Amino acid sequence: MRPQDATGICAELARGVLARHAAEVDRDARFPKEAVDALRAHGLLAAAAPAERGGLGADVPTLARMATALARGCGATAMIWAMHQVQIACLLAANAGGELAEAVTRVVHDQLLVASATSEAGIGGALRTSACAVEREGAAARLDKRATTVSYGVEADALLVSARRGPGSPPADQVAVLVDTADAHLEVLGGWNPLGMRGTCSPALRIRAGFEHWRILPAPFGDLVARVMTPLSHVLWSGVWYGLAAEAADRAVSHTRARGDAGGPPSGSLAEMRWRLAGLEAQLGAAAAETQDVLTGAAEPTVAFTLRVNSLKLAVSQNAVDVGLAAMRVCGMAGYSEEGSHSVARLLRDLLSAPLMINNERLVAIGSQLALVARER
Amino acid sequence: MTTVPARAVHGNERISVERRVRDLLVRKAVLPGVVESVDADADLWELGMESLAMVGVMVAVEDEFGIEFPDERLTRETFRSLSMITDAVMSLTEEDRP
Repeated sequence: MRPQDATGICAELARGVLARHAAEVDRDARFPKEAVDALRAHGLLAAAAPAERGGLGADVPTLARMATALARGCGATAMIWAMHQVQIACLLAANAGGELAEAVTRVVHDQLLVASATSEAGIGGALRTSACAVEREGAAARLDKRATTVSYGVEADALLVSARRGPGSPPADQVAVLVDTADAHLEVLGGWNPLGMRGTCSPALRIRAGFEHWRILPAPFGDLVARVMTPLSHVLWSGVWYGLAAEAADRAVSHTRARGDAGGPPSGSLAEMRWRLAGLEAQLGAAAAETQDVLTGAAEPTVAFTLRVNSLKLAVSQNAVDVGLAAMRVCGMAGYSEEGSHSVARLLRDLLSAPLMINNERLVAIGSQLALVARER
Repeated sequence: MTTVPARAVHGNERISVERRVRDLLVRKAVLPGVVESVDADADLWELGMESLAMVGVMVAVEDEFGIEFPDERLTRETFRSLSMITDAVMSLTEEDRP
């Protein structure tokens, strides 16, 4: 498959296998196995990896469009796919050699599913701080982490776990460890019964793992976060939310047209959704292009860049919810219903997770600090 | 942008700038107990410097030396160690000279 064909295939799968199971995945809060299997069968789990490493070689703007296309069928599947791409990109950017490089190649080639375990009890989602530490004993190492939210952690083949470099390290001196779930003991702490994005299966998880030293990524975690994890997460998550919002807007249009002249002139909410979506699309496209340059090393992750990708997350997560609410107003009871072609209920419930994935309040607080030095173009 | 090989050219001035940078970080309570005596080339991130503390350092260094970092200099790399901050300060003050 060529990267330029990938978005079309994502759209086909979204209309097919993703949409077919979306309601049931949502109702039962279960992992979208059929959809993820289909993505793997089409080579789409390795989308972010370059062709010479056995991947699809999709650039960031293409990945964002793929996320948007998938979200129209099933938000949870799209979010799982997006989060997995971020993990792949981090692994590829980690300057791995030797056995770790071979393990990364295996992840790409076999399209193993990789989850992220950066949150931690007592710390929450502040991913640049860890309490747990890597403890080394001779050739072996181990860690014991109580993560508060690990999306599809139980279903994943591998986990990228953040931890302090060692027991004596300060909270911000972190490393990332590629843990094979076969070598780990995973204990689900508590349940998973949230409002939306139910198929991502993101409970609290205690991770106890023993591993060899080479599984510790050589790149400092902070550099990886600044250059890859944060910008790519914000862009691909935004791609998902944009897709959910665009789907909601389309359903509102479809509902309005189905009512015909009987419903009077079309609601002003239809126009509101379009201007919001137009703004989001432009901001997403610009941030995706800029993130691509940072990933390739053509640009540096400067303060202004970080502020712009954080701003993307803030703007898309808020505006996409507003689009979903506008669609609900237009569709009325048909939109409020969980069933039917004009339902926007699941879309809106999924969208309401957007302001919480890295809480907007914290991003605003960080943004206010960054704004003190950021030099805009 | 050309980076001036500050260490070679301005021996005494460099020592003085580095001392001012270190004093500034001490006053700002960045890595207290560490920054007072840490090697100038030590990696501050590995010593536990946090991103938001770095922003405070950026603001303080700009105010202290009356300079403005261009965006491409506002990176984790520029603020990795006392000597790298010193290099950045010296190259920017150098540019301001007639």
